[in-house]
Amino acid sequence: MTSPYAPRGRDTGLPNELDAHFHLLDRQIIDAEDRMVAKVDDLELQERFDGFVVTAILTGPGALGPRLGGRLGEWMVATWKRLHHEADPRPGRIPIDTIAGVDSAVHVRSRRADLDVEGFERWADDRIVSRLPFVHGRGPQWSSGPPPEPAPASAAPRRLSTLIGQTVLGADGTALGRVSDVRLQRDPITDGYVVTELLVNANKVRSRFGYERPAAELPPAVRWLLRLAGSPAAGHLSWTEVERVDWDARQVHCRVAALQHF
Amino acid sequence: VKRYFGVMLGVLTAIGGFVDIGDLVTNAVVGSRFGLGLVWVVVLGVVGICVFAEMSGRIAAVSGRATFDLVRERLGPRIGLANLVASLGVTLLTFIAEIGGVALSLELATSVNSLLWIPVVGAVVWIVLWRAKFSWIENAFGLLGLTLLVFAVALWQLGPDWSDLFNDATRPNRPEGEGFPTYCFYAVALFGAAMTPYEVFFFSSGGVEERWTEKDIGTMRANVFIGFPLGGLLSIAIAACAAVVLMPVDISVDSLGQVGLPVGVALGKVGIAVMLIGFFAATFGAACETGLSAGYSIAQYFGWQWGKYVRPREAARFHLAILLSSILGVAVLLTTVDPVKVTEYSVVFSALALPLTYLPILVVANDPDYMGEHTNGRLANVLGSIYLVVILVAALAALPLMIATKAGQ
Repeated sequence: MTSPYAPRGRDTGLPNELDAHFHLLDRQIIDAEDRMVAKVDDLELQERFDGFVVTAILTGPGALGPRLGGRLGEWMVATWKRLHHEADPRPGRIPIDTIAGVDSAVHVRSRRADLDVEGFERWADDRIVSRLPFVHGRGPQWSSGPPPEPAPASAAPRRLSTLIGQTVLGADGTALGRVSDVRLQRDPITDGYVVTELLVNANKVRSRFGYERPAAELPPAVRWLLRLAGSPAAGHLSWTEVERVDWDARQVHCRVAALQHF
Repeated sequence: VKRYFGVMLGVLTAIGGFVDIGDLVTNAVVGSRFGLGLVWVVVLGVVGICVFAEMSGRIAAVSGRATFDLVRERLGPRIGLANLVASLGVTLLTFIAEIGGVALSLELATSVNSLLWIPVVGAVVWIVLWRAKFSWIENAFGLLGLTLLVFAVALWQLGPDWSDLFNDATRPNRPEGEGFPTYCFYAVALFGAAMTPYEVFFFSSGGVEERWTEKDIGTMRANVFIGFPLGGLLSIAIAACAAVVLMPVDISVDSLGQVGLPVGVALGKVGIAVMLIGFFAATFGAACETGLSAGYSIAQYFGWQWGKYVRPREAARFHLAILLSSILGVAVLLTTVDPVKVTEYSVVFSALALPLTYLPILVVANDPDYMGEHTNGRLANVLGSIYLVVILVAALAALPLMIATKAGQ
C-alpha cells in the first residue's frame, strides 16, 4: 500500500483508501480559506444494505465528550447541552461530501462561517472579543442561513469511536482481539467512504503510532517502548466476513475462525 | 543579502530569546551553590532542546502542523487531554513567573514595589499579545535580550582563573555540604529550565505563524543550531558569574537582585543598568511567549483557529484563552507568592511534563506520510532516541527528588 496522502503542498485530493482512526480521527479540519475549523472529534457511520458508510465528521464537545469517557466526558457533554441554545443539541456535523482532500489535515470545501459548527467561537467573538479595547478589523461573517439539514433518519447513525475497541469474536466464539482501526474505501459513485476492513489489534497503543502500517518507521527507542507496551498487531478482517455488530455488548461477530495477517 | 539578514536576525533573536526567568534564576542558584559542577547539565539540556526544536520546526515547515496539534493526533483525546492539563499547568506557572520577573526587574529599576507593577505588567503583556505583530514580539524582545551578554562581559571583567573554571566544569564535583540528592535535584531543575515545553510550542507554532515551508528548513536549523547553543553559553556565563562572586562568600541566590549582583560587582552602575534592560527584555519576551503558548496549546488540542497571523476576531477563542491566562497570572501573583519560588517549581515540573510532548514529535518526525523526504535522518534518530531515555529518566526522577530534598533545601 502506498502512502494514502502526501505532505502539504502536494494536494492529492481524496485518497482512495483511508484508515479512519489513524488518518481522520483527531486531525485538524481546515476550511476553503485556509482557516482552522475544528478537530475531527468523531465520524458518523450510517448503516446501508451492504455495510457501513461514513456520512459526516462530528465535532465539538458533543462528539469529544463521549470519547473521553468517564465523569469528565459526561460533564463535558452535560455542560455543552446546558449552554447550547437548543434543547436537545446534536454535535457539529460536517457532511462527508464537503471534504475536498486529506493530507496532514482534513480540508473542506466550505467556509467555516457557513459550516454551523462553531457556536462557541461565535459566542466568544460576539460577547467578549469584539468588545475588547483596541479591537480592529471585522470578524468572520457568520452565516445566519437555514439550519443544517438533519441527519438522514432511516436508521440511527453510529459513531466510529464506538466501533473502535469492540471485541472481535471468531466463528467459534473465541475472542480474536479488538478493533483498532477501520479501513475505508472510496466509493467512486457516491464519493463517500465505505467500511471495507477492520484492523484488529491486541494493543491500542501500537495502532496510535501507526506501528502496524509498513510506512511508519520508528526510531529504536520508540520501538523498544512499544514492545514494552504489548504484543504486536493481530491482523485484519474483511467487512464481508463480519456477520453482525452487537453494539450493546460491544462485540463484532465474524464468520471466520482466524484473522488474515499482515 | 536579505536572506543573510534574515538568518542573522533569527540567530540573534534565538540567542536573546533563549534565556528566560527559569534560566536566569536556576543558573544563578546552581552557580552560587555548586560552582560550575553542573555545567554538563546545561550542555545536555541545550543539545536536547536543539534536537527537539529542530524536529518540531521541521514538522511545522513540512506538514504545517504545530506541536500540540500532533500531541492529540498521536496520543488520542484522553492522554492528549492529560498532557494538555500538565503542559498548560507548567506553561501558566512559567507565565506567572515571567510576569513576576518583569515586575521584579521594574522594582529593581524604580524601587516601586513589584506588587504595584504586577497589574500594569499583566495589562501591557496582554495588550502586546492582543495587538502587536508576531514578528515584532519575537524580534524586539529577542534583540533587546542580547543585553544579557553583559553577564559574559562581567565574567571577563571579574578576571577569574579560567583554568580553574574549566576544571570545575569538566570534572563535575559536588561541593562539601551538598548532598547527592540535592545535586541531582538541581541537575533535573537545570535540565527543565533548558528544555521547557513552552519553548517548543512557541517555536513550532511560530513556524506555522510565519508560514514556513520546506525552503525554510535551512534557516530554521541555523537559528536552532547556532542561536540556542550561544544562548546556552549565556546561561553558563550567568552560572559562572554566580560561582565566581557569590559562592566564595556563601551567598545562595533567592532573589532576582542577587542574580545580578556579580554584574554590579564587576561593572558598576552602567553594568547594572544594561543588565536590568536585559532582565526586562528576557522576562517580558518570555511572558509573551508563554502567554501565546498557553493559547496555542489549548486551541491546538481542540482544533480552534489560533495565531497572530489572522485578525483577532477570527481567532476569538484563542484570544479569549490568552485574556483569561493573563487575568489568572496577575491574580496568582497578587497573592504575594514569590516569583522566584514559582520559577524554581516551574522548571522542575517542566522536566516532569516533557515526555508526553516529546514522544509524539519523535514519532511524527519519522512518518513519511507527514514528512515526505524530510523524515529524521540517522543522526536525528540516534540523538532523538538517546534523549527520549534522558527525558524519561529526568521526568521519573523529578518528583521523588523534589520530595526527598524538600525542593533543594
